Amino acid sequence: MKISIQINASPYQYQAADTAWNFIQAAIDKGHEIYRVFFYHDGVYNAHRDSRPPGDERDIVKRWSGLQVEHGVDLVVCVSSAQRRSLLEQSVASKVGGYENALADGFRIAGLGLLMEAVIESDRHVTFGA
Amino acid sequence: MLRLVLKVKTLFFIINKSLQGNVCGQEFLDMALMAAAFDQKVVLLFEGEGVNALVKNQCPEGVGLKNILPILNALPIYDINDVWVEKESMEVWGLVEEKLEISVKSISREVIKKQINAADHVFSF
Amino acid sequence: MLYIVNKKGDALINCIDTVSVDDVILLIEDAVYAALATSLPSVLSKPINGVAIYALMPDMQARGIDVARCYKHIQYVDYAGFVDLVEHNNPVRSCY
Repeated sequence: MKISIQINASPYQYQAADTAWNFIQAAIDKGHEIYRVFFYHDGVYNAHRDSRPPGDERDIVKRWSGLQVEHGVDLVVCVSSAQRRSLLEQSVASKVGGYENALADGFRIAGLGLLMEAVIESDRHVTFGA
Repeated sequence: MLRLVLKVKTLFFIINKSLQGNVCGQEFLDMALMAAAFDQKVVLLFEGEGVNALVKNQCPEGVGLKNILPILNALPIYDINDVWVEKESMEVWGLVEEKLEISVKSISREVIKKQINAADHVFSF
Repeated sequence: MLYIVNKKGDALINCIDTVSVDDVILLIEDAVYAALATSLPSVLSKPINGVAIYALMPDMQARGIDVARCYKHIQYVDYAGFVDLVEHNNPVRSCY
């Protein structure tokens, strides 16, 4: 079954990113397809390249990047949520100015259209929030 | 705009908390507007505490917040015509339709539930 | 419909208000505390007709919650079971 995931909460402050991560691992193990992970609201902070948690803690951002490398999961950060919260990538920064490369490897930035496309194409859409 | 749409799904957007105080309510409405732009069947449902988001005479500008009532007033322009309020929640909060900013359909919890059960996806925030 | 609830309090109370026969409730994250028989407010103290209530076992274990201290009508799933609930129920509503 095709499942898309939406993450609405920032990492570390809420368990949403961890619950979603464990859910996604179990879904992939069962042979389901994770069609897309869409980061919305404060969920965009899951994509911050400069996150540096202490060495004995899980690295949530790196974990997402690894999911993209290992399973080719499409990681999409909402452009308008991200702009509000200071996460720009090159194409946006070149227009509005600012730090150019805030997104970690494996993430891409796009509009809500990609959320809707995922919702329409997927059998299930599961949201994890604050 | 991206146009890959082949299917029409029924999508419920449920507002059961305040739309004021942070940007989440506004961003949530953006999702509903985008769904409508994709020609999906959109139902905006206000229930629980969320019914208060529709009352007249809100002035969020006074505390520096953006007023989202213009978005609610523009819903028909986006082809969002199913704006429902849960009848029981209206009663709990002592509200009547005349006190609301926009025109809504007041529907009982039981009827709403049957419709939601038949929906493809349900969004909340 | 599958309700995924991540905290007790309003999120769970609103969910209980709207559930109907054949719905499924899954308690995750801090909502698993509502499974405890000593939980306040005790919104899950009685079985709900036709509604299955599950708690996510890894979140129970993370919080040291012993099944023996929980309401007898609660059932338990791991993440694989969570995925199965999503597969077998539609729509899915997250309550938080």
